[in-house]
Amino acid sequence: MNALLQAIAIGVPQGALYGLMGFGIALIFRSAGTLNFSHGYSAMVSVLITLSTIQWFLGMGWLEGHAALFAAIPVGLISGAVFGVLIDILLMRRVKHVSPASMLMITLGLLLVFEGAANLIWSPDYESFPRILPGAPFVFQGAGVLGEVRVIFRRNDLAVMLIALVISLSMAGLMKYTKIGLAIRARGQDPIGAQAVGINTNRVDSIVWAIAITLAVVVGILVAPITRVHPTMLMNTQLLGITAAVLGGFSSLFGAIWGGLIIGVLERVVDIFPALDGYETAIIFFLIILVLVFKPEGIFAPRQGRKA
Amino acid sequence: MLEVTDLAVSYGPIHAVKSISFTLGEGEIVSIIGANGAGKTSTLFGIMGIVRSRGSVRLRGEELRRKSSTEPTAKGMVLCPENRRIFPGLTVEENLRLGTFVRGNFSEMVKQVYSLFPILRERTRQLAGSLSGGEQQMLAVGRALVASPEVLLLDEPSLGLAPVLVDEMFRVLTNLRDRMSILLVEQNATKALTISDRAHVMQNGRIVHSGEAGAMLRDDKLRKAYLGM
Ligand SMILES: Nc1ncnc2c1ncn2[C@@H]1O[C@H](COP(=O)(O)OP(=O)(O)OP(=O)(O)O)[C@@H](O)[C@H]1O
Ligand SMILES: [Mg+2]
Repeated sequence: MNALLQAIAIGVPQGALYGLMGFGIALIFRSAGTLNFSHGYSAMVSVLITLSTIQWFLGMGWLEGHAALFAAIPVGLISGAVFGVLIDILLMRRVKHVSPASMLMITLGLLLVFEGAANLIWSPDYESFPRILPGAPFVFQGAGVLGEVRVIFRRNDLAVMLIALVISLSMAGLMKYTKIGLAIRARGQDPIGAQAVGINTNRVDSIVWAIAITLAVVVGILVAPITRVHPTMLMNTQLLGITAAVLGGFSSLFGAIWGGLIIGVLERVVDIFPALDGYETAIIFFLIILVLVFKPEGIFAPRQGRKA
Repeated sequence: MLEVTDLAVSYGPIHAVKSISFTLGEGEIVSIIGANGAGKTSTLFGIMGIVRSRGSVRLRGEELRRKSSTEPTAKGMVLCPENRRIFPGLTVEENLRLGTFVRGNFSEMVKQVYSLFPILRERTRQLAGSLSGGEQQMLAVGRALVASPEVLLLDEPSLGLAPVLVDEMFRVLTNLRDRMSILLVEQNATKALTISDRAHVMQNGRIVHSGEAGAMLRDDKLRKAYLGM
């Protein structure tokens, strides 16, 4: 029982990050029409930019400690939005009328470009990255109906969960109640219909790319203290983000968040059983295959009709 | 109202519209009729800036740049596209609200749309994808009307409708004529000619015949040659 609680305490924040990653991937998939294999890699470059900015602020003696981190974060986020817009305008806009396959190929190519750029401009080395909320972990200890319980909760995970929650809620609000959110959903459901009401679908696509990559940068900044910063730091997160989106069903954006939470917890639960050690990924992908075979629309897809 | 000069639309090597010109006067209904693949939809897409096109499109004398559909729509030219193109995962009301994305007063216009198509009022909270085909077509027309168009471009509004609903749709369109100019693309040539002032026949991307609608309806040779009826 204790092990299960511990698995949840570590798995939920981790899963929230997969979920945010998956949300952005599903957003691009639904509204801009491609599966972005470079998703985590563009964000990785933005994390490197964030790290360099921190080091620069510290080196110039302008800011100290955490102030440098918080001052650098906006730079990283903006770079993510800029990457998103550039990818859309310079690449996707030129091929989106040609075929979905060419868009997909470009995202695969971009993966290599971003990884190569990171190796060239920075280095393949692992570098450490500051946590948003440093400090000793919380330890919840006590005896209850469940027996003796001792659960460790990392302090930084509090920040992770809070940020994930705020982002999820604001994204839900954005999609449901704002004009641009309605335009994004409309464009995903029928691009010709969207243009018929005067929506500039090219502009919507740029906004979608900007939002999605910026979210990936948030994820990158939050996992960087754990993975450390290096060119493939977000490989695993991206893979599980795509998985989360599949699990949630690309048809429902917020399904990806739930999908991420399930994967995050499952990863840790599998850890409880020593016999399964090392098979976490295999088990998760087995689950995906099951979902694709038995519920291809995703486990959170509404029964009838399509809802954004 | 609308002046189209030397409009041409190409998809790579395919020349769908080859330099056509026509006008639409204030309060007029003008039809474009022609067989499948004649280039009717491409013409409307070119005018609206949905596909890239050459040539000039003037609305109330003002040249439209047509970089995207936003500009023509905001200036009062609104398209009701072929195959409805409603948003299936949004409610009827959300669909209509999107109709006023760049133009039109939603709360005022939606009342008019509901009085034209009372069935939509009963379905406001229902997902548009769960409407019947006929209801979806009404929603598509309603979504164009909430933008208070000065020029309404209709692409096959009777497509897939049962005969009674076709009559109903054409009755609604006739009633709109004192409020807006209408460019009507139709397969159903007889119906279209009946409510139109003038018409153009398109074939292989060109206008091959133009004339007064009533005269075209009576012209047996023309009907046999181009309209197959
Ligand atoms: N996106 C596209 N890419 C390539 N060719 C296209 C595209 N859209 C239309 N075409 C071609 O352009 C020509 C004109 O098509 P268009 O849809 O304008 O005809 P239409 O008169 O509206 O026909 P219908 O009555 O069947 O709706 C056709 O030969 C069609 O194959
Ligand atoms: Mg057509």
